Amino acid sequence: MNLFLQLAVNGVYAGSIFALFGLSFALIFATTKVWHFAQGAVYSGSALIVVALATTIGLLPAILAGVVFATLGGLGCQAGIYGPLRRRGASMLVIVMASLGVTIVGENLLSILFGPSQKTLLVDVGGPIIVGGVVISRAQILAPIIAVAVVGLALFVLYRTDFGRKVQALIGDEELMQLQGIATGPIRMACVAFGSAILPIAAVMLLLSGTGVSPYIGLPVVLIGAMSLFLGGINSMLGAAIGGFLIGFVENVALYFIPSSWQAAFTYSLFLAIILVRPTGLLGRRLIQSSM
Amino acid sequence: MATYIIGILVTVSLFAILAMSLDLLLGYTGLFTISHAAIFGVGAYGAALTMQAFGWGFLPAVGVALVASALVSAAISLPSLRVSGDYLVLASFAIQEVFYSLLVNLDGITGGSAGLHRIPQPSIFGFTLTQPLDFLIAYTLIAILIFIALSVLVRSPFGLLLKAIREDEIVPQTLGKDVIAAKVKIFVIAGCVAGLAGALYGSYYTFIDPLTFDVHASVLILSMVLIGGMGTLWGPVAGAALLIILPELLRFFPFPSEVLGNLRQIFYGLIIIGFCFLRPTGLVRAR
Repeated sequence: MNLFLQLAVNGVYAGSIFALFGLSFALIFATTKVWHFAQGAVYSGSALIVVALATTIGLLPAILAGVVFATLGGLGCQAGIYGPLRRRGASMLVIVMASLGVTIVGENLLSILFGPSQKTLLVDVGGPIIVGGVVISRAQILAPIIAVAVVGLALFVLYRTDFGRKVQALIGDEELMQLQGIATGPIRMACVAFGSAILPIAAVMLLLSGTGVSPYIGLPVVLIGAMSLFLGGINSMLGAAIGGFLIGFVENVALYFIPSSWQAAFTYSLFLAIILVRPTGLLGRRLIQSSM
Repeated sequence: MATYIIGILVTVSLFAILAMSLDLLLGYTGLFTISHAAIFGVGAYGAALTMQAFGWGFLPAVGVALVASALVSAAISLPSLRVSGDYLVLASFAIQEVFYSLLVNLDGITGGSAGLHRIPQPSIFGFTLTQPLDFLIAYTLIAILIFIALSVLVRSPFGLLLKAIREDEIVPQTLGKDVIAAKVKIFVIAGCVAGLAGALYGSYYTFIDPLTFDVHASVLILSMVLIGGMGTLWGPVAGAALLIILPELLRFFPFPSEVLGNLRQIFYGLIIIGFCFLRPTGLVRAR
């Protein structure tokens, strides 16, 4: 029973982080309609920056530096690659390939700059709390709070503000907005910026529990983000966050039954099974138009 | 030097086969998958294990590899039958990761991260390929035969149906064509060809490991098709040649060896981005 409770605690922790991955991917995918694979390089780059700077300038300034890097990285991909390609009338496939090209260049630049090996964050945040035999680390307490705050903020902006209504309209029908003379570019850029900026925050939550980061860990993060979105229901930000949470939670609780080396295979297979049976996801209402 | 050049050309012929098979899905039918390296791997591991575990000959092993890769490829086609292209991207990505994880974790069968060693060289009717030049001649011949077979296929009525599906799935449906059957069929054909490349790959290098068949390898094969020119057969061949040979040239520049691998990858990434901007139709334009 203790083991199960421990796994549940770990699951809530991983789920909180995966919820941020899901929200990040969903915001960018829904507003740009691009498979932003380069998000993986943005993620590992910002995490490596946090690790490299934390010991010299302190953890909070390092996180800020990571957030700035991620924001600029995300905006750079949209303004420098996806936007121009779209204006040239490039097919979705070409844009996806360009994103994969950016990923390859990014991962290898990071490897030259930071070295190819795993780096861990050397910051002491205090020991774990033990409740009834279940070990709860500081990061595990912090992660759900941060996740609820970030997702809550995003949902508040999306559903309670004027700007949020514009974002919803952009996700729904961009052409109609343009016909009404509303510039969609800045709205999209704001969503890309926010979606990118929450990546280093998610990364720090993972780093605080001693998880390592290397230049090549980014693509699985994109995969988890994408699975969260499709599991939750396409174009639903809340769905993506819930989807991410469920993936992280189930993945950890499953360790009660399976060895940890099978975790990834188990999660992906379960996802494939669910999406075959219920392609609209958990909260989705209707199938989207194919963009590819 | 001659051995080195022959080695590169053998690699080109193998990747030309892979890229042509992926183009059947990507260029001709408009199905974007990111799991082609997994199919390639099913062929490679299927043939190697058949020869090593059961002591079967090369030809029966190739047969097993073809059946196995066709089945896995048909399984990947499932998401494409029900829902839009975005789901296929995601599902094939997930399948690619599941396959990689299986290769690493089923170490009793696949040898885990260490891979499989001492895979027998191809032996057909008592004649065994051993010399690099033997391989080059045999594999180039196979690549040419596949090229000819596929060019017949894409010009056939079935090939026209594929192109119609690419342009608009609804139209062939209204004409009474079985779109679902056509998609499964092309996944099976592409899977067979990629699986054959896998069997040939293992028997040439006599060693395979999971890294050869990871998601980055899938991206490499996708890049070859895009850079060469989608919806053509010459294109993937040209793309394979370009992306295998160009990064090799960097070897002759005096870069420090610890960053050479990274520089080669950066160069390759820049080629992809450059093509996306400057020549998104690829080297060979579809007619």
